[in-house]
Amino acid sequence: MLFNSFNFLVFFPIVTVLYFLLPHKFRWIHLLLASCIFYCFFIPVYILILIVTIIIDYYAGIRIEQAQGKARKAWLLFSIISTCLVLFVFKYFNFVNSNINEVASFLDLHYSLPLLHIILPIGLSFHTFQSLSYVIEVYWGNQKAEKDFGIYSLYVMFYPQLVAGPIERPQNLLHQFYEKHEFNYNDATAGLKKMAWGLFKKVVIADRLSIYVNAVYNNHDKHNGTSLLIATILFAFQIYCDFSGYSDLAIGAARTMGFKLMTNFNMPFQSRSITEFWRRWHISLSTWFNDYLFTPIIFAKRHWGKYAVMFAVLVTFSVSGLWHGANWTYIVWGLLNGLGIVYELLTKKFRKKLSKNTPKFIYDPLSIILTFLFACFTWVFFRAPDLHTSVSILHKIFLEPGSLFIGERKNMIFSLFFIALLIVVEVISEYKLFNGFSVFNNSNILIRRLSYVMIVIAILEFGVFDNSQFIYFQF
Amino acid sequence: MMIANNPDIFKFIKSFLVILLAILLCDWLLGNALGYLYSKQQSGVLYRTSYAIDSTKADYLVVGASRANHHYDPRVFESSIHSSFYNCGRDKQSIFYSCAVISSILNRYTPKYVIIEIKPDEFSQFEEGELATLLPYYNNNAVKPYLKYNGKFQQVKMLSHIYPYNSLITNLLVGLDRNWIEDYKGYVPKTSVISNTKLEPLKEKGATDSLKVKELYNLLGRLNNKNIPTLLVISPMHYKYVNSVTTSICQQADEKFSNTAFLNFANNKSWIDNKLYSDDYHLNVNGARLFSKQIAEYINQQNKHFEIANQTTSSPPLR
Repeated sequence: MLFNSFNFLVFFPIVTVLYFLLPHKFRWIHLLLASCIFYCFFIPVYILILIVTIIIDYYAGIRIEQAQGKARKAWLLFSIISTCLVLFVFKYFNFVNSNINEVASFLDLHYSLPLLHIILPIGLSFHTFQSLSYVIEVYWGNQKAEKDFGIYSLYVMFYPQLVAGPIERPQNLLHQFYEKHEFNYNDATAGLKKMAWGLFKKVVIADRLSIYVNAVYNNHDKHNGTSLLIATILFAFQIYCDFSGYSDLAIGAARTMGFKLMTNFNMPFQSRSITEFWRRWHISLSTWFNDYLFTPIIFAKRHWGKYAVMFAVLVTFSVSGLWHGANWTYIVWGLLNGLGIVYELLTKKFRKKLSKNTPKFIYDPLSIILTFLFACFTWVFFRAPDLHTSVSILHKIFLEPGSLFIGERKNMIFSLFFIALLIVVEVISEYKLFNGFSVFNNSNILIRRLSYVMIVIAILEFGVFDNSQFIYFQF
Repeated sequence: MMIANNPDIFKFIKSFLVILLAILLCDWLLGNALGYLYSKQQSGVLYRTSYAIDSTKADYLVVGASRANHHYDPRVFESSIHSSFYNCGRDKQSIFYSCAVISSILNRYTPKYVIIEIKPDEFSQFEEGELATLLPYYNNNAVKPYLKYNGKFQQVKMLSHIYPYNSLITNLLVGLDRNWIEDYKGYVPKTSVISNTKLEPLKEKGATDSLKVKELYNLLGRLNNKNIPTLLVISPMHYKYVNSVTTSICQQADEKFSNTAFLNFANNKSWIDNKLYSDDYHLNVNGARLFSKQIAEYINQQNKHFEIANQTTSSPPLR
């Protein structure tokens, strides 16, 4: 079920109201059933895959806790391998297979394994990582193995974050299912406000921008560098509003029932460096990689000194790229971000000196703009269908300027207006301008309520209602 | 704590109801204001659609999407066939739009001739929201039956007064200016010229939408019953057209309905000159003039045949 669908508009209040009406002991069953229904709106049969991985990781968690020494590690490996195997078959098999095919044909070797004609289960990468997080935390002794199968299932399947995160940690989420949540006015209003803002970002900004971005990127061979540059910049805002909009909807939906999910985005376009950008962008995934890949690599290679950090950064970002999709474009996208961070590590002292010698009002905005442009540059690889196209688009952007394709004028007007609005809102929030003025959290009840009304009206008038999927669903 | 004893619930319900009431009020006020602006349109795309649905009395009509709107110049038709002509085409529309417009016209009067421009991928799967342009005509009995195809829960969504005018605010404001005219009797010319000479292949997207075929055949049946000659046209394009589904559906219609003829200009070698195109999909003003001339000549020939046939037998005009 899509958060921006009419189905969800019916589903959400029913599930939330029933949650508070039911006695506490039955609430987990209710949430689990609701989550199953939510998932079955995509491809129902794929819920079986989810159930299999849940059973494996639930059982492995208990055995890891009970076992000692090598057996403990063996259970962890069993859990990781079997969970990742599902991900590999559905997401990476065809990619690996076709690459082997190409290498074999290049070497004149006979190799033929047929491609699998299967659809990727929605959100597979997200719940795989959430499951892995659980077994690793149990192995490290940071989390007790969950004995209640129903609660563990709910940890993986909790509908607000089932298909596109935030990727939760067991320490943050599991105990919340045992807590009795009374209806709380502040939680309910905060949740609904978050959802309204998330829906606004999705249907008013992201889906509007997608019209221009798709028109240009889907016909990239017919557009010049100027149009491709603008489409790439708009894509940056599109993907941000799409994914952070989803996260806001997920966090808000959970919050209305009293659940607190982790923050996933913290105004990433205000970042002054690529390192800072990744502390603000898709935080649940960045911290996941930091905890379970980056830090262990540094620990294992600590004798390499500063090269261990660089190596860990490059490996982590390449894997992060691969996590996003089985395509070389995503790997290059990840690698470029890794290289950007390595560059920042190497020039840290120089940049610090430069920042001291440059007025803040010049250095900070310049850093923000350069970080944003670097992110846009890497997103060309993220958005383009293949490496050849990515290079061709970049070639045009740098060497083939021309007159700008506008498309439908009103789309461009709405797009620019709402991007400007988003920037204003985020700048006020980031720098606490006008005493941190916020219409949503204003002390004046009239302004506050008027803002709720206006956002609904804006969604009705300016929203794009074509039931478009969230970009991150494909991962 | 029992749910009934929780004061937060009543506080929330109270706030929620106040906000809901305010939303409903704003929706009603703004929706009606937008509706008023819509009814006062003097020019622009919304005015043209309203004019096509509610007012035109032209003898000759063309309906369809952007290729209809930019390819058929009424001046050429009027000077050639000496009858009134109106271009009802509108950008980004599907066959459902054409059916809805013609249906509402047929409820008002009987045109002499109808041209239906068919897109190369006309019968590909309908995408939700494609008929949003007709939502302001929800209360029009001829249009309403087609709006069920616009997506699920259409009736519930239409409870909002703003929803039918979604994203129309700029069109509504521009359309109030009587002097802001970009068309001649619905026709909007395209002036640019493409530079590429290479013909790319064009394929139909996805599976065929049987509902679109059904609605087209229903409309053709209705036009046939009213004895209105109808011409299905796939106009020229700067593509190598490799689709057979759309053409075969049109050919079947040609065979099935005696008043219907089909002209296919796709892959026509006399239409590969890039100077005639504004983009690969649309003719420019010169191309449109030339194309309109050819269609007008074809209609004139048909009319002559019809006159001769009428003098000798009572055979239908196009067969």
